Amino acid sequence: MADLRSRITLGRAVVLVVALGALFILFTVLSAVDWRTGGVHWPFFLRWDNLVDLAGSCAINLTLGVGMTFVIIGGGIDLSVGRLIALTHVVLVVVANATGSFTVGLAACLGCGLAAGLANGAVSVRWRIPSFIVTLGMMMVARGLAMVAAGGKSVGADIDSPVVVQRFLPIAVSLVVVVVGHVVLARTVFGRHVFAVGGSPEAARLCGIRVGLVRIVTFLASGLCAGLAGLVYWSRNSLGDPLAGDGLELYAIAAVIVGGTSLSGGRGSVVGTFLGALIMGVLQYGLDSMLVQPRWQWVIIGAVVIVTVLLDRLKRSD
Amino acid sequence: MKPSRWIVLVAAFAMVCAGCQDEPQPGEGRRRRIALIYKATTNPFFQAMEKGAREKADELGVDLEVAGIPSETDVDRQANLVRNMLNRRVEAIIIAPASSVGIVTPLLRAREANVPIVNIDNRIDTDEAKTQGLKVATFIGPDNFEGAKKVGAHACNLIKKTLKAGQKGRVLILRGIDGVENAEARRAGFEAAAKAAGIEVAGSESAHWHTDEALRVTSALMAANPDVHGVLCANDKMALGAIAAVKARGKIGQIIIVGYDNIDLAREAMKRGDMHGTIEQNPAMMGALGVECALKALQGESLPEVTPVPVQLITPEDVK
Repeated sequence: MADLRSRITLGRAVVLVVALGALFILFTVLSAVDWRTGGVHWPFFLRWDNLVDLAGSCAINLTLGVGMTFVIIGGGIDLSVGRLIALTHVVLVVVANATGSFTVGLAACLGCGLAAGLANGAVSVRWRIPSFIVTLGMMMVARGLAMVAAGGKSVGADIDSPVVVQRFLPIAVSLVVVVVGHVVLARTVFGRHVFAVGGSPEAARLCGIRVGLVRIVTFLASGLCAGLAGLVYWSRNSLGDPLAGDGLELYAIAAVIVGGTSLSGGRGSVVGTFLGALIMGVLQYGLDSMLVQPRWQWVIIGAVVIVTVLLDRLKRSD
Repeated sequence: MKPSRWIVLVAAFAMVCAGCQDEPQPGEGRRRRIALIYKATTNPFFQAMEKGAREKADELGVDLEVAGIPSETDVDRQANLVRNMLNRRVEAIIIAPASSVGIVTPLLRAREANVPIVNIDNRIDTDEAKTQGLKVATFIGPDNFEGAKKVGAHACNLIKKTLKAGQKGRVLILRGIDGVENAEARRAGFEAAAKAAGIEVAGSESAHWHTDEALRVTSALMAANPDVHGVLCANDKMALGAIAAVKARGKIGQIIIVGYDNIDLAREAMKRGDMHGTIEQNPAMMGALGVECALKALQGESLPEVTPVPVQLITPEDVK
């Protein structure tokens, strides 16, 4: 591994790990105090159940974030993934309900994500339309199709996810996605091509890299991740909800940026996205469990996104 | 900071924690901890509900822990709140579900932890709950049929007073979203009231709860039925649209218009004499009943499957 652009810089890694650790300690301490009586007890934030739920709550953003990392490093953006979750998991539920087979439903769900990713990539590459526009359109199409597939209302799943699946499948899926994503991006020829294409498409073309194909594959990866996130959504809720996923694409993009991936492409890492998504996930979950009102959560999470990037910038200019 | 200082800090913290009670244990003399999880935190209806619940909790000496999602529909986020509350070791959960089907799966954990569930506002899907084996202590909700019947009967009485001998009264009905439980119940309530009063329903259509759509629908229905005496609207927002339509035909004050929800704009319309009645759903009482029922469930009392929240007719006399 010689390519420095694909490694998370040490400075960035330190900032992220310290931020993550600080948040974790903060919530642990807060959870040990009984605010009404002023008494102190064992911090519930450290309980096994709570840690499992915390990891589960990060799963969707992690899964989407890895796909988004590929797209952004390749010089694109994918705004469709949030609404694609709605489409893919509704398809999973509807198909599984109709056929009685979960496997068929899952295949349809992943196929649906891949098809949307292919459409995003192919249209933006073939006709040179900025991916911002194509995926913005796909976001609306996916929202509409999710409504169509669900028949305009939430559909209950005939195959419910048992409590064990509910709790551990999200974690398993997201960890596999992170590991596979990291290996593909940092250790394979294809991964190196993604960096080349995002860094300088012209130079990549002159080196004999098939720029268009590489870009299409990054969108396929993002679509597949949206399909897997749909699986996670089903496992957590046993429901086909056509309104799900609203705004999650922005959370995924924020996790990628906090993780140090450059929005202009050609630079970034899955490890960074992993840490970025964890920071946002711990923050949101922690604020929720401290019963902080949602209106303040927006302010705090937004500020943390800005501050993390700012800290990194200051560190680099030292 | 040196690593050794960190270790000291962590050890000190662990000792403080270990020295105190291991966990908040329920029992004699301890305050009960009950969670309220709701949706649409910006909606005045739910804010009133939260206020009612908090006041009741203070009165009964219960610790109420409140969390809500900002939207009406963020099912996954609300499921997270359920998990949070269970990890906080609350003893009972009061929930206004964002999805009547989707909430069942996350609530199964509460059943496993023997935490009673009190359902308010939007009823948890009974079939789904039965399939997954979820037991709900009670459902506390407004009786939409009763409310619509009440305000519908009030409108029919007013209409009858203006009728000449031998003349038959005619009304229009503006429905909410078809297929949704409260919309269907209100429509049935209006129809029952009209039937009981011997008044004919000249036209009935959905305006999807929206003011602008109600304006359009009422105009169209009145064009086809120029001689109607009243418009029964399944919510106040649609009543405002009906008022605009009636005004445009110069018949304001002659046609009886009623709504549902008792929103501020409806009260103003009643003060002006444009509107003649609405229904207060008592969200504060719903919240208070939620706390009461959760406490009863904790004490092992058995509760009825459904606990109706009384609805109240509001007329122009009430707002003056």
